[in-house]
Amino acid sequence: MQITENKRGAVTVLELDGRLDTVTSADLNKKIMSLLSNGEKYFVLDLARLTYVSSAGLRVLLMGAKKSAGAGGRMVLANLRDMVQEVFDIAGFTNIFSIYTSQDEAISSF
Amino acid sequence: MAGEIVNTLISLIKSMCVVVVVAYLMTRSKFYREILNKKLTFDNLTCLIMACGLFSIYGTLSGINIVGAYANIRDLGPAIAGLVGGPVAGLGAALIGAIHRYSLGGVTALPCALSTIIAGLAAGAIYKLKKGEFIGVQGAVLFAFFIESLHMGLTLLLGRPYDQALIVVKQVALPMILANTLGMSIFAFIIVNLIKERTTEAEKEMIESELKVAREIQMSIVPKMFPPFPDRTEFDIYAILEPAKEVGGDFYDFFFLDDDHLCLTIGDVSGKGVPASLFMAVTKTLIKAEASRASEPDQILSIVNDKLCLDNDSGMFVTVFLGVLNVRSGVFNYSNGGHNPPYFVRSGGDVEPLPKTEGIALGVMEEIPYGRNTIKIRTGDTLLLYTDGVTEAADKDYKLFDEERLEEVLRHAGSDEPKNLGLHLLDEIRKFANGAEQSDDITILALKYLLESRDMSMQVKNDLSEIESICRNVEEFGETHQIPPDVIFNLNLSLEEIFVNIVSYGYEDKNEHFVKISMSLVDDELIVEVEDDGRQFNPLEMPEPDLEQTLEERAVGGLGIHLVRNLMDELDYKRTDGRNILIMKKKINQTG
Repeated sequence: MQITENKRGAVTVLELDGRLDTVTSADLNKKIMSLLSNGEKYFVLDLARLTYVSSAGLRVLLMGAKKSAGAGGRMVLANLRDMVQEVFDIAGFTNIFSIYTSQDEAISSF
Repeated sequence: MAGEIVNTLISLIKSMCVVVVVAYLMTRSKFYREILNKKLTFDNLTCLIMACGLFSIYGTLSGINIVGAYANIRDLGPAIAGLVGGPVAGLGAALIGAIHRYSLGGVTALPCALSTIIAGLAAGAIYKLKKGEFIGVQGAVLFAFFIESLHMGLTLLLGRPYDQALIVVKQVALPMILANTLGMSIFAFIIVNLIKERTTEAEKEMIESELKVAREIQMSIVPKMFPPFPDRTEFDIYAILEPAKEVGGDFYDFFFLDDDHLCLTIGDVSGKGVPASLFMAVTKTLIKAEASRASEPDQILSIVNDKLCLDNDSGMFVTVFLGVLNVRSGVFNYSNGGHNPPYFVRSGGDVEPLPKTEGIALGVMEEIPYGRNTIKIRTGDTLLLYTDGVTEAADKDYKLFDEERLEEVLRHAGSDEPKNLGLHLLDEIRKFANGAEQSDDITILALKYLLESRDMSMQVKNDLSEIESICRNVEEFGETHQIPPDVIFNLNLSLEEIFVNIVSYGYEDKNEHFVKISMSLVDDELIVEVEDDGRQFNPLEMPEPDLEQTLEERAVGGLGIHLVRNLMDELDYKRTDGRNILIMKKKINQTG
């Protein structure tokens, strides 16, 4: 999976390309943790090109969201594909994450 | 005087011994058997006449000298000839003996010769009166008594000079009557014995031919031509029926219900002989007729059961196993009426009896509920149907072949061609029995599924890096069988979750283990099986996460199984032989 990092004001935008599974979620976790330790706390994860997510990925996102909130920030998501959306629904993540239909919308929510 | 009596007795005994030997030899001869069967030919009559005639001469020559007169058993030969062979034989033997006696001359020449002839003719007359049936011991002895009395009377009547004849008669009357009746009783006894023997033999033959009929009925009804469907390459089938000496009423049958559905059935009628084979024929016919009406296996058994109960005066019943195989998909539906559950031999070597279903033998009582079960047969799997003639085959110490040995054979030879498997199993049973008589029919029906069904199977190491490979295989399978992408997505996700659990929590050691993943597409349902040899873990027992919790409250774990539960339609877990087996099912024509 490819992670493209962009900074838009105070918000860090991470675009994920590919599969977020047990193996690749470790990479994402590392990325988020390092950003957090650098003081970043506002995150938009753009999942427009994310084709797949499993529970490992969900866990990483959940931990990232908790940590951001704990630091006084937020993590929001944008552009969930259908299948990914369904997984989020089943996992009940749609209740705990703010999900936007465009990157701009997500960014302006901060 | 006493010495003379003793000598007389000894001579008498010697004569009787000769009688015994002659009687025995004569009655065991071939010509005598024909005569006993009332088949009188020139040849065997001639033999009889010669034998009895010569015996008559012997009677004359072996006469016991009692004060100048000879007590003898000349009349015995012709009497026997007449009693068993009719007047011609009696007369023939009598003439031989009579002419010989007359040629010797003497006071009693004429009466002796005459009475010999009368003996032969009178005996022949009795034969005719009894229509060829032997007169029996009592009758023969009485006859002998009267003939000898007549002989004495004739001697007095015809013997010249009279006073000499009188002396002779006084001397020999008692011993002659005694010797002849004794000799006749011996002869008659041996003959009656022989007749009894023949009757018993005839009865035995009748029973054997009845059994032969039963066996013919049985063998003519079951399909015997192999291969029965040469153009059907989806499976290979072979059956063996080895009837026991006392036919036991086993049967088997297989036939197509339509192009795709093959019906298999096997059964065992209680009872033996012709009644059992007739009941078997009725049962088999009813089954075939009902099955053609396109009902389910349990319905077929139920209807056949009710019909068998209707006119079942004999009180016989029959155990039946019936199954229908969809040869296109490998799905096997079956129902069982009290019969030995068939064995399911997987291509990997696992041997298991099919799960039991509700129901008892047919013909016992009406309105019995019958259950039904479905299994999926894959390429290389074999079904082995059998009757208890296999498991209850006994050796000389009454030890039974039993399920254990059967399972052993199946473990080793289960992947063989059905014909080889069947013959090998029969051979093992015979070797086990080691000469002990077969007490029950042995029936074996083996079917091996050959169709490369829509299946995929893979083995991966317990390493997370394998996820990629799993994913690729799943996608390939999906493409081959045109499975919608959302189903592929769900399948990949579910497999990943299960696999990660196994890898992360299934093993305490750091060794390499293999996880087997297989899937098949059957009638628009995807069935996936994940098998591992890790520690016992039933994912279905994992608690559901609380989805109502807030971000802060949410636990990080427990999501994987939750996803699988929701993405798949059905989940089943079992633990067998130290392995976890998880089965997931998803219907495909539903959306996502």
